[in-house]
Amino acid sequence: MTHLPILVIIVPLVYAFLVPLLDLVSSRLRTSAAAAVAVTHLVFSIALFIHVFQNGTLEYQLGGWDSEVGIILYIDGLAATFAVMIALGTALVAWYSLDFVREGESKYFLLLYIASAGLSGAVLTGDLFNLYVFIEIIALSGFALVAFRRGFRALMAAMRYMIFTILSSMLILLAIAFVYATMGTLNLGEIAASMHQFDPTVLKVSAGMFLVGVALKLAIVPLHGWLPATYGESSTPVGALLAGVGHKVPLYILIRFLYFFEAAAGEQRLATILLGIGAVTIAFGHFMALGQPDIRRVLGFSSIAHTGYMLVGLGIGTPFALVAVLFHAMNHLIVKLSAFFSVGMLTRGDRERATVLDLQGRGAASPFAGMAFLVSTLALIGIPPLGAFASKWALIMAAIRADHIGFALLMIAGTVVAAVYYGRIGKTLYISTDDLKPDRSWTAEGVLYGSAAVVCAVAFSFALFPAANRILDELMVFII
Amino acid sequence: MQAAYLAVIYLFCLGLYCVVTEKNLIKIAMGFVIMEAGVLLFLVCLASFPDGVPPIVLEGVTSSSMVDPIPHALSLTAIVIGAGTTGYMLSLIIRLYRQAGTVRIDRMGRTEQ
Repeated sequence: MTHLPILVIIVPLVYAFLVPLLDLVSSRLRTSAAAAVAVTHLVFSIALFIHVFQNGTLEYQLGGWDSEVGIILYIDGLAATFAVMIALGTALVAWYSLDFVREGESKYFLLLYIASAGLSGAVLTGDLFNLYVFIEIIALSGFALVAFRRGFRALMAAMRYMIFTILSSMLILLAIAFVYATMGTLNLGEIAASMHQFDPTVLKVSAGMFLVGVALKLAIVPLHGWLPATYGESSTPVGALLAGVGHKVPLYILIRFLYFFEAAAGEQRLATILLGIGAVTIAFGHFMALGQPDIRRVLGFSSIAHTGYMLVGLGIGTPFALVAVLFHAMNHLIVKLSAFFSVGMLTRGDRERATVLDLQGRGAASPFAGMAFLVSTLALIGIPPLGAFASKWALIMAAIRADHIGFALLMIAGTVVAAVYYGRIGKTLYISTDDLKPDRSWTAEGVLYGSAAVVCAVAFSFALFPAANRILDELMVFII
Repeated sequence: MQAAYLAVIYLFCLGLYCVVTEKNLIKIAMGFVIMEAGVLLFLVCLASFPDGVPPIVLEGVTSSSMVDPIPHALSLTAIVIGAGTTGYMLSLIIRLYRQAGTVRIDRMGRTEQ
């Protein structure tokens, strides 16, 4: 039996607990270990993905106890894909942080890697209660990271984030207790198999609480209140972690809930609710992003809008729409990370506040970061041939094929609004008022090159090489 | 048994009401603790039945008379997580109080300017 599933979770966890010891030896050792562990985590996740791709769904029994008494990790194509996305995202964030963390701040790495273990665990677990535990691990390290080395406003944001998140955790815990009370099991596979034998009313109540909990974490309008402040006030790598990677775990849970339990099949009302809320979320996110002075908040509201796109895709519910949602999630992960990193590079050395005015003329001072920011905003708007264009296009096509013309038009309108607010930032970036000196640091710049290169490579490979499309098709068939 | 479930509903709703309506951060923290107590009571109620014995294998104890140990394990885990979360929340409130001089969330916005 392969031990890859558990390795993906414990590698970052072990490092997190070694951080204080390594720091005693030397801070350089701690930093280089952080870089190495991030890469190891990614390698293990990719190995797990390949293993699942070749051998099919994997059920890993922790400690060798079978699933009746023990806890299992359940890795199918969906889980393996999200595990790779999360490992890639956290690795990029960790590499960016190498340069960001100062002397004597080793607790940052501790928190980051605990979050990384929690994020991986949440997508790999096959047990409902462990899902709750991993969600709490992510949340607790997230609260601390948001408040890390920031001022009063970040403390307020962390507090707000905390209130929303604990509320969602309570609802999820109560839903889990309901499920256990009804079915007597917490194993996801058994729940899915025996679901139809039980009283649908109780199941609907627990599903409702569970979904509201997930919606709070996913920041679906009107439960989005924590997101703009949290993204806006936290430091660059933390914002990138939450927006790019942290956002994918509740999305994974939602997809798992809808398709693994086949709750969406035959439940037309749920699909209607998803479509409606998705539409409101798109409109609200784009509209609110228009008037924001702070760029990270703009990115936050654009995240809300993108969540809306994914919800509409899930609401349409055809296999093609699901493919589009997954593809869009992947693109969103990479592009959001790249956008946050480039904003961080552009405002480096400032008070790390990133209002649109702060960026005046910065594009000329640090040309590469400026270009990276432009490329990522173009991708977020959805300009061909960038990757996010392809996924947005797929979502719109899915809506049209399912006769939801209104939603397709809404998505196109959203794109136009996005072009307006990103265009405003892009313009400011290259209008110089005074001379600014370029500011460089090799690690952060390296990561920036890397992530922008990935954005461009993903983007152009789908546009230029039909073979890449074929690989993607095959992957999607495997995932679903 | 019925009364215990009513207590669960009461505690959960009381906590939720407190979290949603209160402006005082300490009271919000209290609300979460009350909500959590409700969920924990629910978990404990699930396991228990009249004359149930602890799930320890001894001579003369049949497994049908044992209470279900899993909800107990779940509530223990939830208690630990709750303690950690509450602790962090209170420390955050202390830091906010030191900087703003108030624990009321509606007055904090004004002090920051």
